[in-house]
Amino acid sequence: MSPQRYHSVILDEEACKGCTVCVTTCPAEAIRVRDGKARILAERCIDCGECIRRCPHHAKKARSDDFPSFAARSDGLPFDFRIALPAPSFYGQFPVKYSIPAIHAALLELGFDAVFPVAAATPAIAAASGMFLDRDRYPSLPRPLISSSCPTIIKLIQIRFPTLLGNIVPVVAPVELAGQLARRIVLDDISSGAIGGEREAGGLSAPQTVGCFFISPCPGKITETVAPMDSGNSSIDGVFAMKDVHLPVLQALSRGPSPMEGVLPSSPAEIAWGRAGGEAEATLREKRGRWIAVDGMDQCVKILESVENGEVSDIDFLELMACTGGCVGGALTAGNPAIARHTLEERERLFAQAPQAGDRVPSSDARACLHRDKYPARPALLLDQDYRKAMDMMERMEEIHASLPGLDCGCCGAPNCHALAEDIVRGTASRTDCVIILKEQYQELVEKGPDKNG
Amino acid sequence: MRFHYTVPGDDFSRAGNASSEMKKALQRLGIPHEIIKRTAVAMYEAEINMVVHAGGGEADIDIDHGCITIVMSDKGPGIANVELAMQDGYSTAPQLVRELGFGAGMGMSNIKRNTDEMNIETGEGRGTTITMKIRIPEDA
Repeated sequence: MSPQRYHSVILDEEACKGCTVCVTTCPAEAIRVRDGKARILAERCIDCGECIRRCPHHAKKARSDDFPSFAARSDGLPFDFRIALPAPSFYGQFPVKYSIPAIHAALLELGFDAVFPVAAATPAIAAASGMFLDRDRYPSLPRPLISSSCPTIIKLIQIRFPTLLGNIVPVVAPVELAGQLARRIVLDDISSGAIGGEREAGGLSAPQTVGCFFISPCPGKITETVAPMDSGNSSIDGVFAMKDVHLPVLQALSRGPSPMEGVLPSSPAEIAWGRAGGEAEATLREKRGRWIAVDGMDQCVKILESVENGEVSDIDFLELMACTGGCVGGALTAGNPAIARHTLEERERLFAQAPQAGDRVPSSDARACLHRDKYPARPALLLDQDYRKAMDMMERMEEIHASLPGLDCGCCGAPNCHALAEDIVRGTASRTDCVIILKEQYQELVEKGPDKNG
Repeated sequence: MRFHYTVPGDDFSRAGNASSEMKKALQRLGIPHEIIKRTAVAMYEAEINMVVHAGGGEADIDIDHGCITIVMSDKGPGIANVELAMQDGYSTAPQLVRELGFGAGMGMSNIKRNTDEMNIETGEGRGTTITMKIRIPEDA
């Protein structure tokens, strides 16, 4: 497993032209153009994927596993039994005429040995979150509780709203539990001979190593599974970007695979997690409580400000999704987010009319749903550990800011004049990075004439 | 280190901008989170008061090694009865403002709760200046 890391968004240096589109649109102000390339400040990146959406040259990518080499079994990974774990948003990527069992069958055709939908783990997560909503039982938990399923939101809180870390509901993300459940089912089947029996009869040995592969709508969930914020190990062994899997699945679907049995989502609420509002609806179903579901980065920042100002403490549960529309809007999805959301809602409606009967999901221990570690604050904005030094730096920073043109053009490679002032006091940029100032200095030199310079 | 913000009048969408900017500055300095939160809440309440009652005003913040001092002053109608204004639930906010979810009468007491010192200079027709102090602990 790779070492601790903050983010999964990476720069393709070859493709980067050094323009400032990603710099000026990054909600975390985490990108700077340096030496002609738009580099990511690791400690500030919150994995929202906005740069992936915006880059006109497709130079921002997510560090996911390579699907073509997986499909060709040439990835060199040591797993001889591979389980696909599609996120709920995956079902929004394909027209409704393709059923969920057919989509699972297509995944099998592409080289997976089994499919376990992340949706199937959501009821246990919703129940665990619901338990913490009980104000009588958990009077000391601050309100509103904030959903923990969007890793980008957690990172945003760690950096910008550290006083709200205690509001995050202490429950793991559904994919984490899904990995545990999927592995348990498969290992049980292997030991009972239900899996591998025919292989042994044919002279092959039963599968030894089981790998869980998540199909992710966003870079945030890649980081969370590869380098979890929790100190424990993740149940996920690899992650594919949804858009890399989308086309091969669509091609397999057009060949009309016979729908697959196995574990299926068992209620509309389970797939609704793929869109904004789905998690809150599932968590508060059959419970009294007020909830607000917010999607999109700007709106999430605004509501977090309101929480910090104490304006919404009468709300019990706050579902926050960094992407507009929820996970269907993730930067690694393939389909138009609005259409994907509509498709999911169509599936929910059809589902309610004709429930699917899949295999039973093993019941999960409530303890398996708990997130044990506290989320640490990430002081990415801190100027210096030494308060006096930080104060000096900030004073200089404000002076410099006042002397900059205030156009916030981004031409210097920082997102705005204030960020340039900060970079200057941090020693990573200089005043003449500002094209306006450089032009003024040049003008002065020209007017003075060459002889006065020496 | 000093900061100055102008709080616009009659624009709820911009109320809270000053306290939000202040929060970022305090994070850059590494001030403990609880202190930042108290500062932000006190400032936010005072900002809302300025928008609701006084048509905006000015906010001056001074951070030194031991203390954050916030002076919020406006040229509004002033507070007729400070003692009443400090009571939970007492409000003179107009109906329109209450419909927006503000004006519950908790602002002044909320400021008091979140600051170490609070001083109000006011009087009918004289405007209002609220001075708030929040101490930064030595070991922070």
